[in-house]
Amino acid sequence: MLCLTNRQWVIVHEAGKRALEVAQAGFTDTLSVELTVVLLYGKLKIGYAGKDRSGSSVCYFNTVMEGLYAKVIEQVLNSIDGVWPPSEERDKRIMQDLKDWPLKFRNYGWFHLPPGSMLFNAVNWPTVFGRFGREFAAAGALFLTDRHLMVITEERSRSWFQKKDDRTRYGAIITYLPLTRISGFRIQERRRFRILELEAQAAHGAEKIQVLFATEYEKEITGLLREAFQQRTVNR
Amino acid sequence: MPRQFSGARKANSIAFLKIVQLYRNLKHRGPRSPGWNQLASTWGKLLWEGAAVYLGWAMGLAQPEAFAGEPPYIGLTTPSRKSLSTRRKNLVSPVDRFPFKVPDVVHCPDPFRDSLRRAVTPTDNVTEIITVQLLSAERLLCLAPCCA
Repeated sequence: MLCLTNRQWVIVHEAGKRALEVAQAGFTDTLSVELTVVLLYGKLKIGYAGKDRSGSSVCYFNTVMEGLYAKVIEQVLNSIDGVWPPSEERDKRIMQDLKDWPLKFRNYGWFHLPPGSMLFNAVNWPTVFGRFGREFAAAGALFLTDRHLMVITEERSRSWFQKKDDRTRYGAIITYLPLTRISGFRIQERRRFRILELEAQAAHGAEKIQVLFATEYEKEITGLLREAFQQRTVNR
Repeated sequence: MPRQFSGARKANSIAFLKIVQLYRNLKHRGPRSPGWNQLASTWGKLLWEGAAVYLGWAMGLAQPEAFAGEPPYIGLTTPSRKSLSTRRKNLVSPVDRFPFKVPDVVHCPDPFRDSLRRAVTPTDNVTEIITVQLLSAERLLCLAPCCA
């Protein structure tokens, strides 16, 4: 069960046969929101760092009713930034400016970019494959808006070898990071790909989010993140 | 109208006829001829196939009366390898598996109500409550590796 109030969120779920686990945090302690959608499988993960405990809490759902959770995400993001009343208008530039993008990422961007936020910049990268079709980094996209950094990545393949025909991915993992929470970033170099480490920080703690991407897109992503930091100072 | 056989049943009847044929031939050759090995392997194959057909039949028929005739809902259930009793438990109305909104804490389903009452203070203004009654994390986590 997921409950939202004017100052906090509460997730209660069954931890065993008769045990219940309760996780709750105020919006001031909330760091990130992650939504996973794979066919009918849906997962909402909220990262937090409170005085007593920090970590993340998860609730699972059937994606048939994804709209309910999308509204919850909007509410959480608006509450973190203290935006009230929230705007319902979506930025149409996603469909106009990103015409050359793969349809999947353009559509996911359109559906999941929080209403009321303006798109500034976006980068999309393809899947990085190694020898024998081994997947190193999943395809993904980074969106910068006036209030958030949104990362969309395909779910990573768990198998070592893949057939060429079997590379279709049906889902995506969407991570929302409010610009006010981002405190720094670092890019780690690997031989065939790069790892972007984003640090989100609240008053009582921090968490790191890793994104794997293709080497060729390092400059574009670094530029986008610098722009994000400039925007963060403007917002403050 | 001729009786229709499924692929597995047809294979079983062919295997059975082969065994009968082999047994007739072996009657005059003695017990340790190479034909006995062939007979044993055919018998083994028949047993495995028979077990598979029976299991499939039992799974197909194991629906509670309320849902007889309906295909089992496999939206978020863990596929296969479950015992018959677990499968019966999974065959519930699809409506209960979907998340739904609850107007306030008082109307929350039973196991969560008390915990939520304790978590929410009187000063909190509850804006949204979403609940899923029949999903448990473990069952869904089983499905995750299949999809991801």
